[in-house]
Amino acid sequence: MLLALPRDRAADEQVAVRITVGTLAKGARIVVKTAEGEVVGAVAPFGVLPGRKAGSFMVPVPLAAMKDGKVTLQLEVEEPAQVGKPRAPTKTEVEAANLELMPVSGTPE
Amino acid sequence: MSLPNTSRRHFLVTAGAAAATAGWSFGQEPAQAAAARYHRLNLQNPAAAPFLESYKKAITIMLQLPPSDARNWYRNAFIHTLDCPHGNWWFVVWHRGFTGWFERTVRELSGDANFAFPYWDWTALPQLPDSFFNGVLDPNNPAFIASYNEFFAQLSNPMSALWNSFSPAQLQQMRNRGFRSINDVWQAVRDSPMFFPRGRARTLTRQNPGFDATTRRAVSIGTIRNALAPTDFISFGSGKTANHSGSATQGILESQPHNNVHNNIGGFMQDLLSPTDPVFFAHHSNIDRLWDVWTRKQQRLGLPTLPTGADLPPWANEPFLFFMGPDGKPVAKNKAGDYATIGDFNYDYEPGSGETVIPAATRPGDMNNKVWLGTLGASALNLGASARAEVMVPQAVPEAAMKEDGPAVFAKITIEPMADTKGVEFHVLVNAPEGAKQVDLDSPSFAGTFSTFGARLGGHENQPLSFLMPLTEAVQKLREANELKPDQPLRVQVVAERKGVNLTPLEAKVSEISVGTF
Repeated sequence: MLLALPRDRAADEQVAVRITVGTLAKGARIVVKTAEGEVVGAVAPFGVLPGRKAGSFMVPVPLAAMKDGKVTLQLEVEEPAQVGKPRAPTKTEVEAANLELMPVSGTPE
Repeated sequence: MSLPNTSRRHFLVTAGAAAATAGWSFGQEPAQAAAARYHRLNLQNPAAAPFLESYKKAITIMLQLPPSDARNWYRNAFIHTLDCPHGNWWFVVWHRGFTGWFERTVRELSGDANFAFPYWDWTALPQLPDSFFNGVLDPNNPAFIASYNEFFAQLSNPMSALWNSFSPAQLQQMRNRGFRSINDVWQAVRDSPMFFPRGRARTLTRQNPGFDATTRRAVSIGTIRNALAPTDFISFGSGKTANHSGSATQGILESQPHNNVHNNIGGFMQDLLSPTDPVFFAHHSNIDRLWDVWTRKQQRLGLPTLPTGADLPPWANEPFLFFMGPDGKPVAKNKAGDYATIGDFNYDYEPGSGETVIPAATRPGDMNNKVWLGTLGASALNLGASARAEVMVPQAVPEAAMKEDGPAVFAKITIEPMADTKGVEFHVLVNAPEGAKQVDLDSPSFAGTFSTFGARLGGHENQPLSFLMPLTEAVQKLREANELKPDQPLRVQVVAERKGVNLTPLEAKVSEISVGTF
C-alpha cells in the first residue's frame, strides 16, 4: 500500500505507521515490510482482553524508505498454522494504516 | 506582558504546599537514586549468576506455597491477568510496580538481601538466555503444574475466595476489563488459552532459543533508538485511555520489542498469565530499564518525563489495587503516581543497549535563548496555597550562570485573568526548603517579587498576565550554597500576598511556570 505523510516532515520528526487492527487470530502477527522486502517491524498483539479489538500499533518507518513524503509498505499476516505461507490481511484484520510524524530527540532514522 | 515591579519584603510562605496533590507533584524527579541500594545487572554479567540462584530458590518456595497464599507462584501471575495495562499510558508504570513488589518478595523468600532482578538485554542477546532453561527457571520443569485441569483444581477455590474479598473499587476494575465474575476470568484463561501444559510452556527451546528474523528486527538497536526518541511521555509510553484496562495506540517500545518478544517465546509468555514463565521478569526489567534510559534522556534535554499539565493528575491518580507485598498482603501504595519514579524500590541498572541516546552535558555556550516548561504541581494561588512547578533545567545552566559572560536565567510566570489585582504581590521562590513556612529576604531561595501596575484597559482585562522574573542571582546563590543537585529539577514557587484591607477574596490561577535563558 502506498502511504503519504499528512504534511512535510520537520527535521526533528521521525515517521511511523499506525496500524489499527481489528481481530487477528491468536498467535498471528502482521509483518510490515518496505517495497523491497525489508522488514521494518511487526504487529504482534499481546494481552487483548476478551471480546475486544486488538488496537493500534506504531511501527517505525525508516526515513530511507521515504520518497517525496510517500512510502510503499507491504503488510503480511503470518499465522502459526500456516508457517511459510504469509498472506495479505483482510479488512477485519487491518482496519487502517496511516503514516504519522512524531517529534523526537536526536537524529531521526 | 507586565514588567516585574521587584520589591523585597518580608513575607510568609504558606504551608499551602499541601495544595499540591500528595504524590504527584514529583514531575521531573530523577529515575534513579543518587546511590541505589540494589543493582539490576545485565543477565550476561557473570555477577548476575548468584541472583539467578536466589531467584530459583524463591520460585521453588512460591511453587510450594498453597494457592491460598498470595505469594503462591500462580497467584502472583494472576495479578497480571486481572490488572495489567496494555496498549495505554499506564503500561510502563504498572509493570514497574508489579516487578518492583515481586522483586521484594523474591528478596524476602530467597533470603538474599541484595537480590535484584537481572535484566535481559535482548538487543545484545536476541535469544532466550540459556540460564532460563535450567531448573525452575523453565516453566516446563516438573515443579510447575502440568495440566489445565490440575491448575483449575488447585486455583479455583482460592481464586473464588479472592474474588469474594474484592472491594467495590476492585470489582469496578474487574468490570473495566469485562470480568463480571470469577467465572469470566476462568473462561478467558481457558479459551484464550492462557495456560499451557508441560512440554508446551514455551515455543523456544534450548536447542532453538533464537528469535526469528522479524523479532530480531523488533529488538534491534535501530528499533530501540526509535522507541527512545519521542519527546513526550504519551508518544513514548502508549496512548491515553480513561482507565488502565482500555486500549489506545501502542508506542514503539510496547508495540515492537515488548510484544514481539512475548509472542516469539510463546507458551505462557504469549498471554496474560505470562508471569508464570520466570523469564517474564527479566524481560520486563529490560522494558523498565529502557523507560529509565528514556527518562534520563529527557532530563538531560530539559524535557518532560511524565504526562504534563492537565494530563498528569488523571494519570497519577489511576488506582492500582492488586499489588501484593512480600508479606502476602496488599500494599499501601495503590496509585500510578506512586511508581512514577524508581523511588523506594531503590534500584539502578547496569548500563545496557540504548544508553547512548542520553546526550552528553552541553557546553555553557549552548545555554542561551532556551526555555524549559515546568510541570505544574499546584496552580491555585490564594492566601492558603502557593503555585509551584518543577522545571527540569540542564545541569549546565546553573554552571553557565556562574560565569561573567554566562546566560541570564529567568522564570516566566503566567497567571489567568483575575477579577481584582489591586494590592496583590507575587513572590517567587526557587528551591525553598521543603516544608518551610517562612523565607527571609536574604535567603538564596528568594528570587524577587512582582506586581501589576495600573488598570487593565483596551480589552486586556480577560487576558492572562505573564511576568519574567530574573532568577540568575537566586541560581548563583543556590549553587554557591550547594542547594542545586545534579539531575534534580528547579522547584519554582509563587506565593501571593495582598496589601491593605481588601474584602475581595484573593484567588488566582497560574497556568504556566517555565524557566529560560537569554
